[in-house]
Amino acid sequence: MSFISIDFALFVVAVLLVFYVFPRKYRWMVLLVASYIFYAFTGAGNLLYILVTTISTYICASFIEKRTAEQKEYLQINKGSLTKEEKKAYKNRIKKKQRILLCVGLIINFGLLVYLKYIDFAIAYINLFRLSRFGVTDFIPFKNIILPMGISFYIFQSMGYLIDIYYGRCETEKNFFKFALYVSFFPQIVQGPISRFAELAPELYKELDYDFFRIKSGFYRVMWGLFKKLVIADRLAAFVADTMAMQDTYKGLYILLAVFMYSMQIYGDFSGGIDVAIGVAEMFGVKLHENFERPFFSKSIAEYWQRWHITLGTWFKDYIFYPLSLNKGIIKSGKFVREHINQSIGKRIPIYIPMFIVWFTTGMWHGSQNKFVVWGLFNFVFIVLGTEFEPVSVRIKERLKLDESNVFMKFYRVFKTFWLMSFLRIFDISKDVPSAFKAFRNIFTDWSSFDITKVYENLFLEQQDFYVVIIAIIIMFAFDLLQRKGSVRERIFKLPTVLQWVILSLLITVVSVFGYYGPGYDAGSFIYGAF
Amino acid sequence: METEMKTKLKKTGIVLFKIVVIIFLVITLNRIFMPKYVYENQDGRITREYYAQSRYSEVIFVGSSTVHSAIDPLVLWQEKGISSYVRANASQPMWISYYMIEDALKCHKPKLVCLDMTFIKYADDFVEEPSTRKALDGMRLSSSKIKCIEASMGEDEKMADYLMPLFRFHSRWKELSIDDIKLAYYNKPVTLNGYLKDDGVAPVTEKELVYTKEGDLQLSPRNIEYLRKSIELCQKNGVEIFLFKTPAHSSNWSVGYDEQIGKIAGEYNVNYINFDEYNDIIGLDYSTDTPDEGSHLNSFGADKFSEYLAGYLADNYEIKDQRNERRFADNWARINAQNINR
Repeated sequence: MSFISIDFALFVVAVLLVFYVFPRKYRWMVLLVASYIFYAFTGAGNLLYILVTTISTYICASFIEKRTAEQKEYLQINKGSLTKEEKKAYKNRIKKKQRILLCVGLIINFGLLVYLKYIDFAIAYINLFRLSRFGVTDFIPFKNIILPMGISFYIFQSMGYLIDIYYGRCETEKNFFKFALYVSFFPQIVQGPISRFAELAPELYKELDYDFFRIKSGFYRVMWGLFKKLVIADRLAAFVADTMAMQDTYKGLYILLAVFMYSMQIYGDFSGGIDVAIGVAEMFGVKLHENFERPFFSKSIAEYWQRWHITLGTWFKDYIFYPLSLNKGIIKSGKFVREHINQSIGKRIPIYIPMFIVWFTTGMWHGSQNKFVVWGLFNFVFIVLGTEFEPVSVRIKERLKLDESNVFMKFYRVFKTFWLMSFLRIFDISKDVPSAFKAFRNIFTDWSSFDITKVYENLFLEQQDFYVVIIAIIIMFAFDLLQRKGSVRERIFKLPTVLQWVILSLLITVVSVFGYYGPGYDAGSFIYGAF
Repeated sequence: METEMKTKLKKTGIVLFKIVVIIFLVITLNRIFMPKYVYENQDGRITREYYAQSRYSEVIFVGSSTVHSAIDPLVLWQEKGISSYVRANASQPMWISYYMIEDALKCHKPKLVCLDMTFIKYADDFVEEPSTRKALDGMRLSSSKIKCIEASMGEDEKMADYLMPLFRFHSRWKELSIDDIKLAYYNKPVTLNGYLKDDGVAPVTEKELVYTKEGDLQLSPRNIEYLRKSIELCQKNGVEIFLFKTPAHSSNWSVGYDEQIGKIAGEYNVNYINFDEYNDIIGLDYSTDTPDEGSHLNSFGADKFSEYLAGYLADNYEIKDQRNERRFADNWARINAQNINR
């Protein structure tokens, strides 16, 4: 069941009805059943994967917490009889057991994810290695596994929970079914946001009264998401793909336009989907974490990544970057370099090594292809360069007496960041790494051949669609700008009822009419032919 | 207490008003975006226009495009006072015909259902979305419509697209004209009780009609199932049913089909006639009476066939001559006037 479908809309309506008919105490159960039904629509077999994650995480977390309780009890009972060293040794033993449990949970789940997502990637490399080293042409066949929907999201979310339990940042959920809901909550299982247990659990299990306002507010959010997804993103998909595929013919400004439009497409697609998720969750009284905060208004790459896919970024920061930067081995190596090679480089090692690993992993997370790894590493390189050249940049600005608060300077930085990130996305829309570099080169050639009519006629973006998409993008950015001064929805809800309804009716009309969905109307096929 | 009551009433009034506005908006959008079938593809109007005529329809003709081009209800009325309507659309398969009958029975019980067999020869998967659309978009919402959509949908089609045509036709925004808005609530008849007049002439190339003798001549189980269901539905409701094949000069037919249909008709004690065998008696001349080399009849052919059919039905079925009934006479006078003004 696609998120953007009538089936899903009907499903949500049905679940809402049942949800609000049930006594408040049992409403979380409705959400659990609905989430499993929703997930079963993606394939009954996929339920097995989510159950493996839920059960393994629940068991490991419970045992980890049990060890903590054991330790507390033991230390309490033997309060006076243990020496400091004995206490330390006991704590270490417990920690070791907990670490084993944590590792078991991580290995089961990440092992599952790695196997499902990267097995073909690994096979490709093994085949290549065997061919180049031993000349073996008897290739290992690819597994061609279809990834269960949302698996990386719910595994990341569950592992975040397990790590939090390990570090004692939150308490375990004792009720297995409530925990199962945390893992499977249907609005967020497709594409996030990746929620933290401490944040999401109270939202999921709280007992709320029926409030029409909540449904109305959620519905506005859903419609706004559909606007971004259907009017902008889906309308641009064919144009972007075809321009990239035909870049030998359409170079220069055509590719630049496609790169720009791809930024709009991916933002509309992803943030639109998140809007739908957040809006649907809101209808059930569940507040999900925001995942985008006007990323295209960022003034640096680092800032951009704090505003784009926020929950994934913070996940990597909290569960990979920080633990790695505190890793004894990395700290020691930094110390070694500081003492024996260079003070300045040594200081950077505990930051840059974890950062490198984070970006490598981020790249891999986006897809099991080299191009994503390269994309991730380019992000790393740009962030490092930005940091390293910061003093130079400051000096230049001082010399030139450039004021950072100046509107033109702000615009320049936003413009620069936007295009830098857009250029990096060329890896995303290219077949492979060489194609991405070729596309990048092609941008700077043959600008004079640009003819907008060719976009309309040959590149699957008809003139009317082009106008619609431009207007829709302007609306999207205007909305983002308005959002800076607080929630636009809240401002709409302060307007007279008639105006609120006019806005909602307009939104529904625009989405249903200008949305890019369905098989399209081919007037030709409706002309009567010989029967 | 009174103020509380007033507030409650006011609130209810506002909610009702909102609901009405939403329904109006949705209906209007659907109507604006749906193809109008007024100036072209007029067979798309046949189903919609039936409801205004249902209470006058003592005989309904159900079938495919051969029927709506061959039977002129005005001729039947003028000849024998038979008040009829043609519920036939291009490429209309047996299952749509069945639900057309079921839908008609819910509006007004006709005296006689005449079911054309021309399309029964096609395989189960011979379904074209445009034809299904033209047949169903105008059908009133009922369980029959929903069942008919279910029976007709292709693999990639969705029920929602039929119930909310806007979802299917929204991309027409690029070609919308002022006519789409003007005609959104257009209710004037475009067809003559389902008859679509065609004055074109394209004579046949082979004068002698020879049926095919090759290929799999077995009717598909699904078509047979819906034929049986149609007969049973009529008989259950006390409505007579007559099976026929509209005359055409097409080699796509086979004596084998006639035999299979005849056998089923015999089981239910129902008449079946293949009017191809009556070409000479009817006086059809395929050098002048067809617009497409024999596949359909043109207006000249339709006049001849309708006249003959009027006589046949009057002689073989208990259908009252309604020309002296004021209600019917007034209705047909209106139809005739519209026909003249057309």
